[in-house]
Amino acid sequence: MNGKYVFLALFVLCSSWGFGKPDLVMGERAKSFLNKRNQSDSKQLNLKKIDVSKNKTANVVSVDEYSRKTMNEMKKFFSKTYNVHEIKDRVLSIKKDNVKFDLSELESQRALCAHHMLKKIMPVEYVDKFMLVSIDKERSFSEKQGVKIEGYRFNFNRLFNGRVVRSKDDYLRIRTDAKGLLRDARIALQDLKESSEIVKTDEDINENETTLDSLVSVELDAIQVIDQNGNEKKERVDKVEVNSVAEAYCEIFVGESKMYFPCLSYASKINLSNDEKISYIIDAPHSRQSWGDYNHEKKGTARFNRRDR
Amino acid sequence: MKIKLIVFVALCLIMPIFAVNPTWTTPSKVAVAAFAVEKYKHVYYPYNLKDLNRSRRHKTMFIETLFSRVRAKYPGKRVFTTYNLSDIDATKEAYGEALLYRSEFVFFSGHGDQQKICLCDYPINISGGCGSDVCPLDEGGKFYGGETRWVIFDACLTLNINKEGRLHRTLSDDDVDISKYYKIKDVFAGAHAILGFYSLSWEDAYGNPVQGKWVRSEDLWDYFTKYFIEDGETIWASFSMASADVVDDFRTVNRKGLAPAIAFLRGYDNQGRYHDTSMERFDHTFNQPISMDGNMQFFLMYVEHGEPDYYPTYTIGN
Repeated sequence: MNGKYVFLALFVLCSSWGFGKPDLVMGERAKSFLNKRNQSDSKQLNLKKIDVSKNKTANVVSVDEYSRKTMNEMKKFFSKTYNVHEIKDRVLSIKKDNVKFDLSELESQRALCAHHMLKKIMPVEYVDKFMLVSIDKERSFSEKQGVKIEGYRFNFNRLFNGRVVRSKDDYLRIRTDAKGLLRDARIALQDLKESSEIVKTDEDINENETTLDSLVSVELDAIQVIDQNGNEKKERVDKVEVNSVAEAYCEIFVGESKMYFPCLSYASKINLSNDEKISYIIDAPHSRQSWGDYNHEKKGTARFNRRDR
Repeated sequence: MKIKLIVFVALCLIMPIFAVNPTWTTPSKVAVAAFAVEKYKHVYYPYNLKDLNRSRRHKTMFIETLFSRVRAKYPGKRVFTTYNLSDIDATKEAYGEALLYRSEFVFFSGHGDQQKICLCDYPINISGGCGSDVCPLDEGGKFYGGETRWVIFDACLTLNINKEGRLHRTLSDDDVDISKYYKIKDVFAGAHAILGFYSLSWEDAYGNPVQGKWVRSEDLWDYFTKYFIEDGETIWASFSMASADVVDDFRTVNRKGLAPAIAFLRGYDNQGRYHDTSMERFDHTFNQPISMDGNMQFFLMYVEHGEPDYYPTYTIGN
């Protein structure tokens, strides 16, 4: 083990000694997902495009940083019917007047409503390659009209091989007014390709939980907060409640190259010792061996402390 | 005091009418009055404020990207700062006495609270001013009009109008404190819109020094000017999308979100012209102050991106 890893191990140990290990509570939905994922009914999960026999392993995915193939295809497709504008490298803005989505089932059938939106706007082969993750609602208030909804932003994550790509460079956002009229859509897609490297993904629920537990105790034992006196301090994490799980690809840096490793993404609530509850998505390997020597943290990342203003 | 207010508002509204015909166009010049505070050690007790690290960077990013994009898209258009004050120069007195009405943009970056911003020595209410653009030290507050179209408070909670203790609640008729709504409405003396936050805002940065890639909270203003000037988006879409971009940038390292907000006017003026100042574009903005007469209504709008926080751990007094 070279010096770098000794330092890392010491750092991990030191940070673990500072605070107690948080309680990890796996919710019923999460448990059910993890139990089923190794059974033959994986089609019920979000692994639609994966052959069941292949569910025991998954390929690591690499990014071709120089290729623009996917975006060029998108640009070509949308240019036929929409005004397309490249607002950043690999980010397209798409607009057109009088495109209207049916939002009548938004409250009762959120996922179905989002699916219909995708069918209306996206190329057929991409309809199943996005998953709705959240909806931002625009609200206004005026003295005469009171509170009303002015518009929505639908946030979709990209799916690759049926897994959610946990990246800020792959997404779809659709903005509409309150009646469902398209304001614009923005799409960002990297050129992803399967590498020959394979990761085992068929560990049982005990190994999944143990892996998550060890990650939580090392990386999530405390969170930096600002206290009542304006001082920054670390607040102990008392409990991590996992509500749901998704099969995902997590961003890892191998040297300076970005790779996506198969992982499990846990939507959680974190209880801090000051009684605050926060939402948190925890990305973890399937097993303690899944990612080998690769560190989940981006190597060489420096950061400043967040301050509320 | 009332007479001073009436004279100020009348001047703001009437003077430009003689100068140009009312129409929707690109501003003839872009002047910015900008203020930023990082060092709060001069703030008088009992205020309890932590120093900030990036307010000046936020201000610089706003000014530089705005000017460079205006120059690139509208060659020959005059861009300049009327005020560019930071820290010990950005006092309550300096802000209070600044003649802001000749600037298309007024920009403040620093600590804030509901309808308050904090300068380096004292907080001020964003309304309840002295009724003039030149305010005595003890009265604070400003009215925004004249050539000022857009006021930007890059600070926490300035446009939050919820009742005390309910800052985090989704906007509803029950949770609105109408007196706070009026406090914001009252500063409109011709200005078109005010941008701010319904939630806490924050500053942060992270990056990879090896790769030279950094993500910074001041990128918000780079995104904003790009959308507003370069891409020709509306003022609200520009601000909302820029805020969402920053939340996306920080998604992997920061658990928080942002709730950008806009105070704006919508309806028909006395001349029967329809305005929705949240939809104004830089190249299609009304070239006159907009008054609250006719059927014009005052609106406050916001959207949540990610999971914003609403309770500051500092106090900036009343």
